[in-house]
Amino acid sequence: MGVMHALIGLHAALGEAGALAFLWVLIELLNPSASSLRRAHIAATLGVLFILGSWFFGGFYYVTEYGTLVKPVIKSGPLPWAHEIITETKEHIFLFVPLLAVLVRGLIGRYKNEFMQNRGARMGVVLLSGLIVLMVFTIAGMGFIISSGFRAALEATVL
Amino acid sequence: MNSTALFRSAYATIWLIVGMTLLTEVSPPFKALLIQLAGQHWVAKSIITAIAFVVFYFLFRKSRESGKVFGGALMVLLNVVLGGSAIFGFFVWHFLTK
Repeated sequence: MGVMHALIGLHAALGEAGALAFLWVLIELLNPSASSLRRAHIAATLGVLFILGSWFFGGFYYVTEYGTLVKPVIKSGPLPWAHEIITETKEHIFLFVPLLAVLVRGLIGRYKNEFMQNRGARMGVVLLSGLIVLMVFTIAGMGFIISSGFRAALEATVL
Repeated sequence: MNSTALFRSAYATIWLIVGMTLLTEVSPPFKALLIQLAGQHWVAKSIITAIAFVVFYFLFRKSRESGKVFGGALMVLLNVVLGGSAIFGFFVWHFLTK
């Protein structure tokens, strides 16, 4: 159980750190200067690393703990849809996030010397960074629903 | 980096994820193949996603760069919304009709 909590914690914390890194990118690009573009570049690189870390630890938890310990409990509880719909959706739309993160990092690398003049490129990256932030927080909300499904199943047997 | 190639790789990979997700649920042989590849179907999908994004980029890297980054970003947003809705809608339907 201790391993399970640690893996969920790492998955969630790295995901949230990734979202904050891309929020940082978004803010730096709203009113760019040479120094803010440098910071956006660093933030995007950190964001990619955090998201990749979240992917790794979330996947490790999903394969080693969730499938054997959590999934059967949720499916036999009062909220089986928490797994059947929410987990199934979450685990697959999550795969969009690392590629969006790499896309943003790639665009910043490509356009970092043009962002001051090229508002379209800048707003494109702002839009994608905002999308990453929204997706990560949506996925975190789905994580809450899944843990509620697990809690509801345990409450049904214990209380 | 070529921004047009990055965008095209993103569109292609998003729909590859959607395709693999739905196919895994409706085709037991495809699911078995993924399990054979990596021991677990989601792990196989993760590995294929990462490799596919890189491969698509190399396939598209000679594309003429359009420079329309905002339009590309809007298209990514559209693809994410449609692809995500397809996955969510499928699992809702699957749950309700089981």
